[in-house]
Amino acid sequence: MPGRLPHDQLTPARLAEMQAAFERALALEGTDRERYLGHLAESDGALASRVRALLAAHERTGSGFVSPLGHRTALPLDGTTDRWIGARVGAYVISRLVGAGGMGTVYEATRADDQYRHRVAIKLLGQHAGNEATIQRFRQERQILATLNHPNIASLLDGGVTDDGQPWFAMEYIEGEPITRWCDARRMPLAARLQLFQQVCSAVQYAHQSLVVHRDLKPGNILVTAAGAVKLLDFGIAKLMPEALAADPDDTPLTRTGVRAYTPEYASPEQVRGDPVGTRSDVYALGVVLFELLAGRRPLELHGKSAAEAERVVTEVTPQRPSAALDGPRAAVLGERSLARARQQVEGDLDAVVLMALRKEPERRYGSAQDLADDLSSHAGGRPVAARPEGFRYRFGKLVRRRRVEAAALVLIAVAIVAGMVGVSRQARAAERERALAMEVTDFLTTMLGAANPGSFGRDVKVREVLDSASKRADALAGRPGFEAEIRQVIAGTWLALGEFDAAEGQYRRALEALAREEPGGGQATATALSRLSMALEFTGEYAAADTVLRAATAMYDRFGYASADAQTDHFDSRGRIQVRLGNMAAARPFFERAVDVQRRISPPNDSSLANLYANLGMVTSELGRNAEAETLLVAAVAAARRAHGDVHPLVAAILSPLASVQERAGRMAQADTTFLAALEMRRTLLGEEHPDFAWTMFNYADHLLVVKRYAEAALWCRRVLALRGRTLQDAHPAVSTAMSVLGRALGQMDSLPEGERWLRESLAVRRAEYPPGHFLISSAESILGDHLTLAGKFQQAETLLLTSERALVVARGEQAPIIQDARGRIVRLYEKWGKPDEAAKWRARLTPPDTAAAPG
Amino acid sequence: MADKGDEQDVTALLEMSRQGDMDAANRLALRVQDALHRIAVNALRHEDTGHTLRPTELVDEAFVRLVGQRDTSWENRSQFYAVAARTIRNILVDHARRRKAVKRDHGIHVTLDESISADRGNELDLMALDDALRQLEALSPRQARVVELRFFGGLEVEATARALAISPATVKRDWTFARAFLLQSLSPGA
Repeated sequence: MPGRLPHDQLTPARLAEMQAAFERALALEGTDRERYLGHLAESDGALASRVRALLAAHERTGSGFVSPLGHRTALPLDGTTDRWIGARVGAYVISRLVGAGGMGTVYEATRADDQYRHRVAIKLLGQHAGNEATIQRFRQERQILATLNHPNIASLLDGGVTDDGQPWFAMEYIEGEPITRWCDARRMPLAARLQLFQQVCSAVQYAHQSLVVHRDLKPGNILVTAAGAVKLLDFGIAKLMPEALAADPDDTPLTRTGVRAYTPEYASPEQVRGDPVGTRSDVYALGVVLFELLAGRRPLELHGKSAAEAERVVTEVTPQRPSAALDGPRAAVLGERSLARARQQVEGDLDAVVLMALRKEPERRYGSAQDLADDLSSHAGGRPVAARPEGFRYRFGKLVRRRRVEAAALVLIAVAIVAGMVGVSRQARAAERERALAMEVTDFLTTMLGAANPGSFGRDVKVREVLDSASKRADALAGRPGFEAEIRQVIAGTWLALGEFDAAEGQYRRALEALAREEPGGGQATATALSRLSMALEFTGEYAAADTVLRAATAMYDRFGYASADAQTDHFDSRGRIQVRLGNMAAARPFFERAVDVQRRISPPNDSSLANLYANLGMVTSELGRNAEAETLLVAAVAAARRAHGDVHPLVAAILSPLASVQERAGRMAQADTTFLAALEMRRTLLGEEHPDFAWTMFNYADHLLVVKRYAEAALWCRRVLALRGRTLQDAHPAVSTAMSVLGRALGQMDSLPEGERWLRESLAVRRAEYPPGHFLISSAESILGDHLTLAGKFQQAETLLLTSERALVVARGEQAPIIQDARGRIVRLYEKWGKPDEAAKWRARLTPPDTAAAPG
Repeated sequence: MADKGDEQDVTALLEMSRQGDMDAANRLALRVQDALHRIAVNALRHEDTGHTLRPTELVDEAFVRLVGQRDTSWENRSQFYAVAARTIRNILVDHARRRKAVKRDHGIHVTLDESISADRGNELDLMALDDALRQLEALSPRQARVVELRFFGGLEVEATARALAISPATVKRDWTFARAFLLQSLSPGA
């Protein structure tokens, strides 16, 4: 063993000398080696010493220098190799390493003081801590995350600096799988994939609006949680757009980044070339992800290619259509029975949408993630997509399919459309899974109808028999809960259309039971079924229950998104209607307005839906005392309904009734009468005389007749309504108590005071039984009864009822509601009759002049 | 944060890190570490059957897990081995450091030669080895790579040569010299 080594400086050159001398000595044996080393010592003593030491070491190594890994205990890969494990950072204790972000290291941690062991993800710079540029980027990521607050983006929770000066931040801990793997593992059908993808678009759009470009979108950064929620991660290489972009975040490109940190398979041509990167680069990446969700592979094959070659492919090669990239195994992953079926669904629209997102030139792609998402909504809603030219055949096929889906709730219409479907282009048959299902459902019911009584539709009682037998047949479908649920909802929808609300409710509930097996954690189909169930509850007057069901549907839609703009519209509409039924006009209005907004964005407009929404918005507006505005909306509603369905249609009839009421309020009585009679005639023809909707129109007309002082006729129509009580009309239906009220008032005017009072007291009793305390309809009944008691000369009783109800109505409906004017008018009348002119004058002063804009002209 | 990615992601990272992208290299290292961890856990489960992994098997298995068995360019495979070897080195050294922090001066000791067992007192202090390897790296990066690949990655001479695009003869020479250099640096007299 040699002595201490010389203190000469070791340099690369010196090391090379050492190696040369060492090798030479090693090649020599015994005395030859000694002689060589002696020579060396004379010219360079330090070198000779070093070589001797090396030779000695070499002897000790023996023949091998065995890797430590030969021993199983040698590689401590138990997650304890990291000094951060177990360390405390801020209020958190790090428990394990979970991965790497764009820059730095991500750990799982829990709050040290958290009894619920709330998990967070902590990001640290780790070994990059010394690099100034890295620290800069780390800070930027933290800053970016702080500006982003979106349910589909992993959010920033906390941040700080560790004891040894390292910056860190805590994010929401996301336990999920990459979106592609998540979908494939569950064999998610196409429609569900598209809905998930739309959540991704929404998050990306939000980031863009917050002036953040992600720049590294890929499945690994788009996780889906067990609950099915999308979470966008890793803004590590995201870039804040210059503030100048605030004016138009879509069109101004980013400055050159310099850092080429991205994933080539998802990088846009401009990114690969090192050109400026902007929001449309993220749109491209979204296109790649969408392609992968559909086809199971990426649009361009970059595997094993050099960087230069990859750049050429990304910038020059046009990707194939996703439908062409499908194969048999992939069709199975998409939940399709055959490759042909899978192809049919992707061919056309989806091919076009994906290829538009993947265009080489940023300016020819979708302008934003939202545009991409909107086009997918159009596709889901059966409307033409922007991504392809609108040829006649294309539009035609679209519209036919769209009508069929809409009609699924009405067997009669659905059957007619199916008949008209024969010979429709192949494009029309290339339906999505839902549409295929709708077709199957209509086929099922068509067969049932045909078997029962061919050619006998309409009000024929046979339809009920068919529905009963269809319902029994559906019992045998338990093995296919999705199909069973669809069938039951069609049956329920038909019961609903026939006014058999209890039967409808029963079928909807059974559909929900089936869906509980199909979508155990809930989902869009469940949300839709809930929304429809609420209609059955609404029509039977179970408003609170309907409201509860709708809120549950909202919660589910919030989680899973809406299947289409139409689904969203219908849902808002239902929520608004229930608010109306509950007497919350002010709360109802925003729901209708939102629904109208959603519908207006759709092109071409769905007139049927718009008509419905304008009508509801008009009625609410009228109730809020804005009569002129209300009339405009209702006229627009009738026009839209006629565009959609022609002059005679249930929807047209439904809107005519409130229009007549508004005309009456505006003082145009003759016009109102004509409108009412038209509505009545239409409903009688369409629905039959026992339908609750017809009853409702009868009541509306009776109420009008009361206003125009045609008391006998008013009483007659009311008795017709009440003849249905206990048959198609239950007490919970508002027509029952209101018809009693109108009848009582009419009788009062016809000097049948005792009978009138009996009906008014009955009306009040029904309302007290059916509505929650404080509901305006109870107060209204009290006010009306009070007025009747004035007529009967029972002033003190009348005063109590009138004053109490007036205060309650102001609380419930606000000063501006027409109903307040009515209530105060009755008080004035009381005091005049009672001989208290001062009191009367005081109350007269509180009457406001009628809506001048709506005055008769 | 389960950023496990997939096969092509790893390929992309390999290509990027080969082109000098440190970020990609770091991400790749974490992937490799994750894979090695899983392999090790798996191996421990099979402890009873006497199955232990040799380093080459370990790295090969990590490769198959992360990249798959499909053809990939030799450059990528080499890059993978380099990253894997570096990762294993870091794991071992970090572990040694941690143990030292915990147990006071009980660095992990590894035998230099299968023929020389631990009871002969001839163990390698990994932390010291790491320091020496750093010194060597500054003087001759290529030699440090050779040591890393052969010692930590368990690669044979031929494979090391291909991974570094040098001749097998050079690998042998570097290996012999570097080994002596490192051991000499670790010697009590050094």
